[in-house]
Amino acid sequence: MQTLFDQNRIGDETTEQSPGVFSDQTATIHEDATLRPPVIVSADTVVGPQAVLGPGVAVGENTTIGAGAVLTNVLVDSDTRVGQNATLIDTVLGQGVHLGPGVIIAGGPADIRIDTKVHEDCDLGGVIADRATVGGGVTVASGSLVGSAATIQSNAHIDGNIPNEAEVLR
Amino acid sequence: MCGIIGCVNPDGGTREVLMNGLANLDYRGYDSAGIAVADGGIEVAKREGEIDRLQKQVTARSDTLDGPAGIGHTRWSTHGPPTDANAHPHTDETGDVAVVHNGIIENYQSIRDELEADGVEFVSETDTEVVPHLISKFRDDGADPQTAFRRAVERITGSYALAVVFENHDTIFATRDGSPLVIGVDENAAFLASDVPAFLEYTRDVIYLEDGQFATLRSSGVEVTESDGTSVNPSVTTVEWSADQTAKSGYNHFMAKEIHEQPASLRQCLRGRVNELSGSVSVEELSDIDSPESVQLVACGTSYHAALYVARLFRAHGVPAQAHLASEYVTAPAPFDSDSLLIGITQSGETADTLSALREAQRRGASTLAVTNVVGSTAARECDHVVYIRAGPEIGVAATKTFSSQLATGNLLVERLCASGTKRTSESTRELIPALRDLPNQLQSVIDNSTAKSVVEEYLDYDAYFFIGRGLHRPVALEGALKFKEITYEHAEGFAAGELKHGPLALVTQRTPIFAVVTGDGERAQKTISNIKEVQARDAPVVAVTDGQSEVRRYANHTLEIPQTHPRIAPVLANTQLQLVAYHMADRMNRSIDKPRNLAKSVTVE
Repeated sequence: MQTLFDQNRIGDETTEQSPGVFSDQTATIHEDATLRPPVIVSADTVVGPQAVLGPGVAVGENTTIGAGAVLTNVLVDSDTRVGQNATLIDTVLGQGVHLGPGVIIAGGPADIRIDTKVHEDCDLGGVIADRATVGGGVTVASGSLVGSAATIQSNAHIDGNIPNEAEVLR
Repeated sequence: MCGIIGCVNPDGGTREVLMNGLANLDYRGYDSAGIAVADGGIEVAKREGEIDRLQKQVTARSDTLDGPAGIGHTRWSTHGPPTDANAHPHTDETGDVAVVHNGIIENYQSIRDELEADGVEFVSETDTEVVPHLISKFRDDGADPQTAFRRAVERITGSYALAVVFENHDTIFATRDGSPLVIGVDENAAFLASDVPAFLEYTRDVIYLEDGQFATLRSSGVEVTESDGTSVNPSVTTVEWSADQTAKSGYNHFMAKEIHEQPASLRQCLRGRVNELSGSVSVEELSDIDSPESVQLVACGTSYHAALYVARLFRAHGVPAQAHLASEYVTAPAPFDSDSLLIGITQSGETADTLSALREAQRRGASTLAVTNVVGSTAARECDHVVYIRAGPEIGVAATKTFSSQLATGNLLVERLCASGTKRTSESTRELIPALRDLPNQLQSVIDNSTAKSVVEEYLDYDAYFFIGRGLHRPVALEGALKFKEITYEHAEGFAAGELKHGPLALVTQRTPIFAVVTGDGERAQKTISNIKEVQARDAPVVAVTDGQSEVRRYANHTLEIPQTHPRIAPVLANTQLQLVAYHMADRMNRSIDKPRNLAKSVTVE
């Protein structure tokens, strides 16, 4: 998370619109969207009506947050698309990720397995790596890691780790 | 197309400014380079070949080659071969005046004959050398430097940007007509150059000199006058480009850097122009332009391929549109009426052929629109309207990122000018906007995952390389072939896929790989696949650029994959694969990628 900010990939040249709410002047935020500080919205990003971003949300460049999406404690890298009414908590989305409408990553404590090591009781909803495509209505159990360029068919349930470029059928 | 640099700096360091400036301008020509510095007398150093050779000569010399005023030049030969004698700056017989010139002096032969009859001895074959001799002649008649310079300029016709230094004067005199010249101003120094990157590390405040204007650069300031001597109050603009944008930033070549910059340059191109919430396209520069009844596009080289693509988009929206090669358009302009729009596409905004086509159309009363990358360029200033492609500085002679930005801008143009509320167009706009917004990331994935480097290994030392595409992919095939021949020096041709069987198929053998662009799985893709089968029946190897929707993989020897997208956006991604093919092939063959032989970046002569 630190490095994205260090590289100025997120939040570069944003200005503080109100206490704790930073957005770039080229971002388009619908007047009916709600930004709850602290929150950062970067250049060229679009936030649809009724979306709720924050607290603890940083969105990279050229990203689209669909209408009614709710993001709490989420990091979104650039060029990503979050579908309408998606609910994301404690989540990291990579670059160029496509989430369909109504995807739910509900968050909460989980044990996370990385290679042979298990990290117990972490507050992590999920990590969706670069260019993964997650279909509409997918639910993701806490602590799941979806590999880069993986494709998850709509309405599937994900629990655990999905390898890079894997395809998950319902 | 020849680069000029000049610097007035009372604190010294002129030589360094000139040498850095030449290094930054060498994409404009690299046949020879030279500098002249006025420090009391005038010292000249010039050398055939690239700038390093001049640098060695300058370093080896015992004199300092430094002083309060100096000029430099990097040459792309028009008159006379690249030799030491033909290198600029040129001086008169006494060495009291030194001149650098970009452009072509059309009446030089008659002036030269006249001067030679007076006993003047010429040492070069260039058109430029008449200028210092003319100035010297007027000086001998008693004119002061400024008057002598003006009188010499009155004598010449053609296109020129000229800069002159005199012995015992810490001043540069300059003028332009038809060739670019821009002046940089700083607190106690002044610069001039053919293009802004030459002095970008010293100042970003610039004055764009208009055709026919004269400038006098002194350390105390810059004075601009019209040709009749009336004083002009020039407007100073600050350029947004920064010096590190014009450096290689760790890449081996500018071309590689610029291919990799495309996601960023496309983001910049689209910024604030597509609105996903409202599903609309808005281009600030075009707020006061009416939808045209018909469109003609003029351009050269890579920009012409972009023009072919944009013309197709207009036609798909029911607006008659044709793309013309600018140099041909001037010879026989297509007929147009008062509701026609003439669009000139030129990266530099200084392309002489495109400018003369635009001027011809303007003379005949057409409304003109420039699509260019350079703010304040001649095309931008002379046309009725201008749209910037916002690609940032492009240094590599082979255009890459400006082509993709031209295609993206073309889409915006067509949406803005044609989508006047009809149901069909608004639906297509709604589909296009997400595709445009996804384009930077998809292009990034093409660059990240491309197998072009390993594919070219299979095709070294073949006889010729052919590129085919149908519909919107035809301009991509033409551009793919142009890029390939420009930097590999191998024979490459682009064809409309359906045209192969009408002639070029005779050239196809097992020694001629075919690069075919096939996306989607519709009728067009199927037809192109049939064309692929035709060449395979003649044993030609096939490399397919595909989004994986059709079964072309079964017929191709190798594939270069691109992500699925809107049919109008697929050409941008397919072209990126072909850019990488050309780059890796040229790199493998150790070609001079950023400075291909005989070519120069912005072509400011006709």
